[in-house]
Amino acid sequence: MTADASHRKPDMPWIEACTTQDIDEEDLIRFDHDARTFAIYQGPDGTFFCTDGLCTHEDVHLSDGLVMGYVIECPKHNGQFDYRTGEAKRSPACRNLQTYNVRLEGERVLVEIP
Amino acid sequence: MGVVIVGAGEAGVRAAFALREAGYQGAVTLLSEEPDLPYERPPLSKSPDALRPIAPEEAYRAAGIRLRLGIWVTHVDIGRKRAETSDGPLAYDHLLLATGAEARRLPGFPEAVHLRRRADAGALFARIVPGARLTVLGAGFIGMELAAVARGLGAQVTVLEVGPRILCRAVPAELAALLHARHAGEGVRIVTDAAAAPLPGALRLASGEVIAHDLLVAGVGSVPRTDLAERIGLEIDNGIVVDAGHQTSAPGIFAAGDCCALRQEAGVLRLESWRIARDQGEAAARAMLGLSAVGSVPYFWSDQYDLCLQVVGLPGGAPLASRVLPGGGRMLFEADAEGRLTRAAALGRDNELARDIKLAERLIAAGIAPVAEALADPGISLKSLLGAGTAVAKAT
Ligand SMILES: Cc1cc2nc3c(=O)[nH]c(=O)nc-3n(C[C@H](O)[C@H](O)[C@H](O)COP(=O)(O)OP(=O)(O)OC[C@H]3O[C@@H](n4cnc5c(N)ncnc54)[C@H](O)[C@@H]3O)c2cc1C
Repeated sequence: MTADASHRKPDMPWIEACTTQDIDEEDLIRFDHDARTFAIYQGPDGTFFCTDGLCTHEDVHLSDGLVMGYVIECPKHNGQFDYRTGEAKRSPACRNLQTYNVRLEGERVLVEIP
Repeated sequence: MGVVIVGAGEAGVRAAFALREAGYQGAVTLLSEEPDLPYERPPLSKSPDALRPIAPEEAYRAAGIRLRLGIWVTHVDIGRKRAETSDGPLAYDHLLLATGAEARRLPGFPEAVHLRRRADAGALFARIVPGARLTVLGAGFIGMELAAVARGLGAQVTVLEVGPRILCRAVPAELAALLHARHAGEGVRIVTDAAAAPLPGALRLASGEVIAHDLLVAGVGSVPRTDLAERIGLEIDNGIVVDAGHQTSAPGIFAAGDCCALRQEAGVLRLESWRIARDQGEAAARAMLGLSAVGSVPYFWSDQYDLCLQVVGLPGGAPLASRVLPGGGRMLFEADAEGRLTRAAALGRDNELARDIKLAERLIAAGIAPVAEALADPGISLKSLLGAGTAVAKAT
């Protein structure tokens, strides 16, 4: 979900979350901002993504989970999400994850957080 | 007609939803003897007021699942494909028994209470107050989790175990020893090799010591609910015997979850865990529709204090390697005679071990025989062992 700047509302701030070096390919990190927690991913093709940081089944940080391809598996109960779209792929995660736009400026990873 | 599911625990509920996910259009009726909206059992022993529904009520409605609470199945007429319930007969095309298990009762300890249901947890935690003396009989998962929570609530806790160590059945000795030390550090008194005799309000140990209690809890395992299956005449062997497709000895009748025992080359295998119950429910639902299920590796976890234990695979292998996790946790690997990984067990803080356990699950599922030195080296990611280059491929 790379952002298209032309569609962006002016009041949506882009927050610098990390650098491209901070996340391995096919991996994720946790990013806390303003009392909220997010997960930032690098896909196997080098594209970056961002979702809410907690699993929708139970408040567990997804950053402890495992990324395989474009799927993040919750560390506790095996729920799976496609982190590009937030779609819940396997129960018990029945609710989708919220996703956020990501854009790169050089090595800086920026996330659009409403 | 349609599918009738007996029991709305993890297995039954998962089966109901899996039928819809697989495109089944017929009627799905889910019967639960318990009055509550189906709920998860694991939280019951992990926190005093945790009640988590397996799915919200709307989800059943949205999926067209007829959930009938407080209704139990008394008999099944196999010939006429009819289930007799406390609320009248119900015809079916396929029947799934997901009747679960119940706490094993300890004969001779009339004061002992057990923990299986929501109501048990409510009654039990009402009595775990600061200063209350709690004695737990049996150092299994439920007993040790309860001990940890009760300490947090300020109770005085004693755990008595007849065996030589805690968590004898399912946890490698090295990890059990770490957990034991943590409990001791938190002030739980653990007595192993303990033979206890009941007195009013107390237990007497073989040494003569008398341990008084305000609350006595027995956590001595569970027994499968096979009463209905026995009445129908299904084959039972420590559970309702099923084949790999969760078919019982009667055609059209399936069983899944804690109540069933899988027929294996050498005897039967009964597994009791949250995820296995779900996986089996899904597998049984798919089998009813003639669909195959994705294979899964047995897995369970336990939470005690801020420690999490996770085990994937089955016991029976030989120790292969031990790995120190980044957060200081520990992970043990076992392998079969050909060196293929059979089980990984890890203990660590919170979820630090989750990733490595999931990778171990994939190594087990793929039949990979990793080099012991690589498993033991925290600098080598387990993910890299999944690739063909670094792992010895399946031997046979
Ligand atoms: C306190 C506790 C803590 C646990 N913690 C963990 C954990 O940390 N990790 C883990 O992996 N596993 C844990 N488990 C195990 C896990 O919860 C079980 O493996 C799982 O619940 C099994 O699901 P099931 O659907 O097979 O059976 P159950 O959940 O037992 O559900 C069966 C249901 O069928 C009903 N029933 C039976 N007979 C009939 C009938 N004739 N008519 C109608 N209804 C009927 C029963 O009343 C019950 O509601 C725990 C279990 C308990 C009790």
